[in-house]
Amino acid sequence: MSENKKDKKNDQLFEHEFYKALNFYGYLLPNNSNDIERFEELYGKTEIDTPSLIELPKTKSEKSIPLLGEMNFDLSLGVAAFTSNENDSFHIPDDLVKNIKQEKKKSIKNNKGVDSNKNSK
Amino acid sequence: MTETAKKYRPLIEVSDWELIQTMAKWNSIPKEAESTFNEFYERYRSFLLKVCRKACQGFDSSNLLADDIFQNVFIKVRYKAYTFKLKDDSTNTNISKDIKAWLARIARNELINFLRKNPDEMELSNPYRIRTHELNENPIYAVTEEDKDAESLITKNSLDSLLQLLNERESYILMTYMQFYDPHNPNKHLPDDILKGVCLKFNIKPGNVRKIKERAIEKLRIAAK
Repeated sequence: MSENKKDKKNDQLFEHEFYKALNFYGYLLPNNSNDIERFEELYGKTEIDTPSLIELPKTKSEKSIPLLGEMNFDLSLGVAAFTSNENDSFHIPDDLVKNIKQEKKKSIKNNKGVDSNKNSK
Repeated sequence: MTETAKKYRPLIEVSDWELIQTMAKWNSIPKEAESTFNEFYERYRSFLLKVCRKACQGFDSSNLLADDIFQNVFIKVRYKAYTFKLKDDSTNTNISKDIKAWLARIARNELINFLRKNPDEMELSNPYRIRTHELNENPIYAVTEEDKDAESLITKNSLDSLLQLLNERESYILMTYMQFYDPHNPNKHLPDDILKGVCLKFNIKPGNVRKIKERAIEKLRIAAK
């Protein structure tokens, strides 16, 4: 076998061994319960803190609620104009109001909010 | 169970299966689903973050990537808990491992999505590139089922030091290949969309991606001797 071919064969064997090692030591995401068991044996089940930047998805999705200043009132009015339920009063859900207030407070506090940016411009 | 723990985690004694079932009814009982989700998050956040951090080590900005994947997994879980399926119908058994495997599968998909990100550019892949099935090279060994779970000949310490030898590009490309490595088909190419993502990231041609991977393997093999 030529030297080149031999090297190629060795590389292939090594690649397989390398993959096995990555899988065994948790460098690849576990595929099955065996992998998970092994991962927990190697790295323990101790709780680790999620860094402060990571928030519950709940908070993340709430962030997508626009601040009051950003709301597209044209669209809201457009929708309202085609809604013919006269008996229904226009009511903003309490939790939405609470969220908006919280977000506004936060943005004012951090001086990074949309409003403060607009003012600075 | 202490009273304090119960105060902050009122659902701490609820089984995993009940949590999943309630979370799956997000549309009909959002409030209950929300609180069960919080408990679910508390139970599994630590495991998932550890797994993500470890699996992202070979990629650049690994901790940020791991954190992103972690968050995306929980967003998916929050709204798609109904996709969790038990292996059998025995709902009373400990399903914690099944849940962890499910979370890891979602995380893997998220990682692949990240590798696939290839905005706008659709023409990078070389249509004349040799396809996997056209390669003459045959695997030089037969992989058995036991082999998959067998301990590797490379120890953890040497694996860590080998990984240190790779530069950012080599590490990224090799770890990307390893996500798709098939012991039964070791010469398999990267999927086209993933390859496009890698080409875009490093501004290289598809043929070079494979060469960089091969050189990285050779470098590691020589170092491991």
